Amino acid sequence: MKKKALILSVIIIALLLILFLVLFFKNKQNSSVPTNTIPTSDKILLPIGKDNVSVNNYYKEPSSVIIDEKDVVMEKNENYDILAYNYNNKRSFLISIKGGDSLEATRQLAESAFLQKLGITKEQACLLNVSMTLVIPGENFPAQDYGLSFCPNSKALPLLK
Amino acid sequence: MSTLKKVFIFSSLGLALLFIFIFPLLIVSAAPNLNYAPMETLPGFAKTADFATFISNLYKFGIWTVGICALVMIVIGGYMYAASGGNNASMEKAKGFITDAIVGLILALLAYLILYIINPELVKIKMGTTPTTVSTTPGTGIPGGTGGGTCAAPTSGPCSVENLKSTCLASKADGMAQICAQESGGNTSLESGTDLCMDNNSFSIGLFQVNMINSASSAGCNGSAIFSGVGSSSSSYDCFDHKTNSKGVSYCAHRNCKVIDTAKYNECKSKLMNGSANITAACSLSSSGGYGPWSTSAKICGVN
Repeated sequence: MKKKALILSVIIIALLLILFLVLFFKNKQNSSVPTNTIPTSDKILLPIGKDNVSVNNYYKEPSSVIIDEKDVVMEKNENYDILAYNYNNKRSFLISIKGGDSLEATRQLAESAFLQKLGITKEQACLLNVSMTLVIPGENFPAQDYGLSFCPNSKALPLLK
Repeated sequence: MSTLKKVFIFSSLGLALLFIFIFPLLIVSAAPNLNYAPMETLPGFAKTADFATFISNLYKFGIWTVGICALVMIVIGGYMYAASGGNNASMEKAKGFITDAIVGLILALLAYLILYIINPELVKIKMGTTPTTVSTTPGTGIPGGTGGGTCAAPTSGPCSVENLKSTCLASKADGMAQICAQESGGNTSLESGTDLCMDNNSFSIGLFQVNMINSASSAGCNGSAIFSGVGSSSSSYDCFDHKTNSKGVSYCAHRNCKVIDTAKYNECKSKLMNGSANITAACSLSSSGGYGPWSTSAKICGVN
């Protein structure tokens, strides 16, 4: 009888332990990506599959203009904008090419600025959710994502004659 | 409990589950563009905009409920066992409580676990109509259009179908995502490079390039108080000068307008640079004119 009680106790303790571990890891996972408040730490962890990519906290960048927690304009100039979004609890980035004598040259400049601001390598950048779009005055290219030039599946920008 | 009674209970339970899970799936499959907005959220889960996520959350909620119920039953059984005072009947009853609770819990978890071990994709509910045709490969973004158009709708950010489905544009999220991508490339802070006044101030702003002169009243902007020479007629900001694009097509580079109240202009611009506010303004425009306010983009994207 004592043996059965012992087995039952072990099962109950094991279940409680599993419950505790599930709750613990769930909370830990949530806390690694603060999505509902503006992060104050120097780095932000962006989940990529089972791993994280650590990027500079772009909310603290001097050049950043924080519209709200969802929208951050990391850089804005005549030829390109770099933005960070947090919609539907998904952090993503947008590089918007607006002009320049050579669109490819503008692309290179924007990509360098993007890597430098986030403090990441090209390989890490390819893991993130980054879009690159064109909004050239007077041109009507159908909307598409050209991607980062050094990542797989990137597309060449159209030539302006 | 007699075998007949058990068969009856299990059959009823099976039928109930069939109706709860399968019947709604059939309805959604039959009506691909059905927008689903639950009136109440499930405890512990955010409000969902699509039915597949809701069912998935419902299942997770069920697992939690089973777990909590099992825990309560085990505690009750344990108490009964401890309080049985050596009475064999009470002890057997208590053991029955505990065993049933554990078996129930194991059964509930096993179904999910077995499917997950075979292939994690099996436990993901997918609707053929949700925007799954767009790539989710990180770094490559938006390869193809959705909703019948040829433009690519972003897979994340404010212009994404997922986001627009949670806004007042939900009923035409697929088309509007493409319009949004075509108008601004998904850039919330975009100041139009073609809708410019003579003083180089842009009057079309944000995701849907909302026109501050005559279309931003829903955002609290009074165009005629911000710009000079602007009346109710569009001719009041006729073209001031033209340029030619890379294909040799002429377009208007500056309009015959000018900012007269810089403070109000900046205030209105800031409002429209907020993604959510711009989408709300687009809703207002769209409710009366469909895709009409963005007819050029709609034509390019083939959205109608």
